[in-house]
Amino acid sequence: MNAVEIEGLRVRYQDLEVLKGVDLDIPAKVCFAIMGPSGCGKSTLLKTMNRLIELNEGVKIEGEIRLFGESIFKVDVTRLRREVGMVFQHPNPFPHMSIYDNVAFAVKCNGIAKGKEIDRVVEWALKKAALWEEVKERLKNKANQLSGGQMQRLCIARALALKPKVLLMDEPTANLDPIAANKIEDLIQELKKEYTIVIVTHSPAQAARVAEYVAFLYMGRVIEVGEVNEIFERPKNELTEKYVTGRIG
Amino acid sequence: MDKFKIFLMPSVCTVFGIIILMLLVFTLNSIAVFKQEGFAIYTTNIWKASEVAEEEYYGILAAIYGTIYTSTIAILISLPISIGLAIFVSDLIPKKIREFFIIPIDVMAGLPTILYGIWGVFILVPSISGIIKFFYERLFFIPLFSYYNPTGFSYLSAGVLLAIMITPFATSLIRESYLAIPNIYREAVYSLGLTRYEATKILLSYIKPAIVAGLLLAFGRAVGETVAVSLVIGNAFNIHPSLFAPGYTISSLIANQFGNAFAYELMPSALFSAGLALFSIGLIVNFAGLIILKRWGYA
Repeated sequence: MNAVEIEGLRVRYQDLEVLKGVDLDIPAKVCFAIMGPSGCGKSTLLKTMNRLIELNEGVKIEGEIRLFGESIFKVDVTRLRREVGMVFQHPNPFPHMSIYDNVAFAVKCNGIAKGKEIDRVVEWALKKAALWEEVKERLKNKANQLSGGQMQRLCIARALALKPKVLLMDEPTANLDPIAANKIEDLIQELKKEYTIVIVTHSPAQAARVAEYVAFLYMGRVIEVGEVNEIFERPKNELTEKYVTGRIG
Repeated sequence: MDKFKIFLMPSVCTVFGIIILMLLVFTLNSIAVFKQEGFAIYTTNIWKASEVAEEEYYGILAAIYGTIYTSTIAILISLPISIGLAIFVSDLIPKKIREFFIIPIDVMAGLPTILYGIWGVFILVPSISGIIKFFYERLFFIPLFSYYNPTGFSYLSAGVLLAIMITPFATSLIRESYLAIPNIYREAVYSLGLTRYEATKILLSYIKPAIVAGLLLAFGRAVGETVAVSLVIGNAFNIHPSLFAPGYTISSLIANQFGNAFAYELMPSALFSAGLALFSIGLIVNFAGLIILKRWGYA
């Protein structure tokens, strides 16, 4: 079964139609990259998958998105967001909370674990996010003392702690230095063995490095979608070819 | 020193100069009463005006007590209401009509306080005296509710009136900082499958310093409020644990007494020393706030 199925998705902010009919099937336990130039609607597409888009006023959604066969518009939105974790472009751990609490608070609120068990979940998540060794001595320190790359891995840990089925990543390395970005990419390679990862990127090179499947989004439409080799070696569409060779973007 | 710095100096000097001069004036004028009574002016509750200077005795403990008591009541009532109102205005109503809620709140914050005072005397006190009687008749054995023959002119009336006056102000401060939370944090909390209540709690903890600051500023306003309070508090030199007892506050004491103060030798000095006490309460509250913020690692 596909992890995510998107059918005829249209998203409109007031008068501006951002997604103009998107169809996508995202298989389970792969890394699926959505690439495209700025303003093509890729972040909107991602934020529709966990309905975070609904935080904005005046958003209209048409079409269907199914998560493992179940319509996301029919399930409770808090449950949906627990099953679909998200990592953002700007590392956004809560600066006023400790490293520990940043992971623990959502675990507590969602009833994933209680009491001593929370410690175990936090440790597990931080290990999964390859951050444990760097922070285990200072879990009580404020999260704003971490570097940008560490903050981003903390955000990944925070999302993983809820045991999501799908992990959405919205240009997770856009604001990081190359070394920190590499670490995140290595982490994606590890995580995709267990999770379905949907990553949005404006860099074709990054898509080629981390993903099995790539969709090219342009002006609110999917221009081409397929396995990573096909898209990069034998693009069927002229626009895709121009984009992957760096002529538009 | 460069020219720009020199250009800015007058504003800096004016503000700091005024603060220092005020403190100086209050201190110098208090000396006379300190000489006669020492620190006892702040620790006793006697107000004895006399034609003979040796028989004059002033102790303003009741007013200090009343100031802190009424302001605390006001803060306790106002805090939950203003946080609730701030969240409602920011989160639960559409952006387009938000202004229709914000403008009346801001207008309320700026209304002349005498308007609240008149309303307090004619509406609040009579209606609150019914509530007071209800509680007194049933719960008189609890010190908080025990005061023989309560009239409605009380700490409670003053506290409620102050709460009404400072709530719009506190709401504005909390609302502005709540709306200023960067969007990336809003998205973060909601992406974690939290309910609206849980998400709001996290966001509030993010602006805790602003809430504390708002609280302190509101407390400062409550402490300094004069006319409206003196209309409803009963103006009695009284120290009583009951919410229903009449009392005094420092600012209403000064406002009520200064008219006849100059007929006596020591009373002006006593009022200046009361002003000094008000000054100190303001300073203490602000320092306390700074210490709290520091302990949380914000300042």
